[in-house]
Amino acid sequence: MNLNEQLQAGRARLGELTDEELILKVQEGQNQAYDILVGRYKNRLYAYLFRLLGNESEAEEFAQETFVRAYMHADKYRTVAKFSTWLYTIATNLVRNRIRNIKRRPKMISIWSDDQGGDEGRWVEIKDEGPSPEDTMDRKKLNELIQEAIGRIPSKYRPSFVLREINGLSYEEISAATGLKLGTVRSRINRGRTHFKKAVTPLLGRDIRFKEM
Amino acid sequence: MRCKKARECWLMNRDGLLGESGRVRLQQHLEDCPECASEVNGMEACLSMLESLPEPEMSENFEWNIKRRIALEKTAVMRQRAGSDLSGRWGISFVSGAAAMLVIALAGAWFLLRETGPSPSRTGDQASYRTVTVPAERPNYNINYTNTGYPTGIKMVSDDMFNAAPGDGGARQMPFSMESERRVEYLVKENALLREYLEYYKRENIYLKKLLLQNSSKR
Repeated sequence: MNLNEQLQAGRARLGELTDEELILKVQEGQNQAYDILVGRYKNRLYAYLFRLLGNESEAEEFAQETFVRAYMHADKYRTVAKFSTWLYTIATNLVRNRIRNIKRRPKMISIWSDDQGGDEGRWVEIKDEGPSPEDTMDRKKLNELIQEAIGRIPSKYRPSFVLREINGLSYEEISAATGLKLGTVRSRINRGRTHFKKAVTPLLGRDIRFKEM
Repeated sequence: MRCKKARECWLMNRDGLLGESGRVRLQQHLEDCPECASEVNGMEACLSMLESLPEPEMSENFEWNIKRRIALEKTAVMRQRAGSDLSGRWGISFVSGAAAMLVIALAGAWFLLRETGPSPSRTGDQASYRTVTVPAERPNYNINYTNTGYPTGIKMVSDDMFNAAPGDGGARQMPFSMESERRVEYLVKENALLREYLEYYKRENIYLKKLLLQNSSKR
């Protein structure tokens, strides 16, 4: 077996390990294990950050920063929490710090500004384009509008909402990732849903056919 | 079941947190209350839009960038550690060395003041210069400096150490790496030589000032 085959075999063996086993390997100094973890979580983490931030380049920057921090502080990871939860915790804290910094800056127009007025005018304009947006808008435009609606959810509720609705994390995992109590997580998710519905309903128009329960 | 409670239960049901009996009661309420049915259907439609969202695409060099940044971080950490080690190791040596030099300089200055008395004022008290004995001839002060910073005209103890051949029984050692007793001995000798050297300079200074006075009186 040549060196390349040996490396591939080693990688395949690592690929069979769980996240928690892999991060323990990283703690032992096996960098290949971290490559596998990055491969497993890059899409999910990037999607989470993109839904939170609404900006592709910024989401990528934050996702990279999250992975770098996770690697640099791998020795601090304890197996009591799931690796994914730990990763989301780092990412959520990064976003939280970013929100704080933006809020400190005066008169900045940003996706985190929740109640800055003038929302109705913009939404009405979209609504005037046609009775059924799905008929008149292409999918890309609709996705952009959904993203915009997510951006209209107050920053307080958005991480919990996105982690639940898009990333599909359990309440317990969200609680661990955000550092909130279970009751608070549930309340924030529900409030996030309500805000999202308020933001997205004008897009749907009157002719939307609601799904049967 | 009240409407508010029913809507809460619907959300719980969506997350799989509602029991069987609760589900039955919710279903019953929604059948009886068209307002709640409309509300929850609207919510379901909105949230289902999220399920169909496509995965955002990241750049191709995403993983490479992570590796690059990790390498940079590691380098920064290593530099930081190396810096703190150096400052810890050399900091004490540097402070003690500087303190020793200061003490020697102060001692030298004290000896000079004690032996020569106050120097003439720099503000132009010409009478004080006339009382000074001027050397008959200007001394030869074509001074060349050695690598120790001392003039070749005066042989310094440290010259021997710097100029000695390698393997010369530790003669190339710097003064501060010597045993303390020998170091003190060397420094005392060197201090005496420096005082002598300063004497020469003072006399040169007096001689030059005298010349200046003579030239200005001729004009």
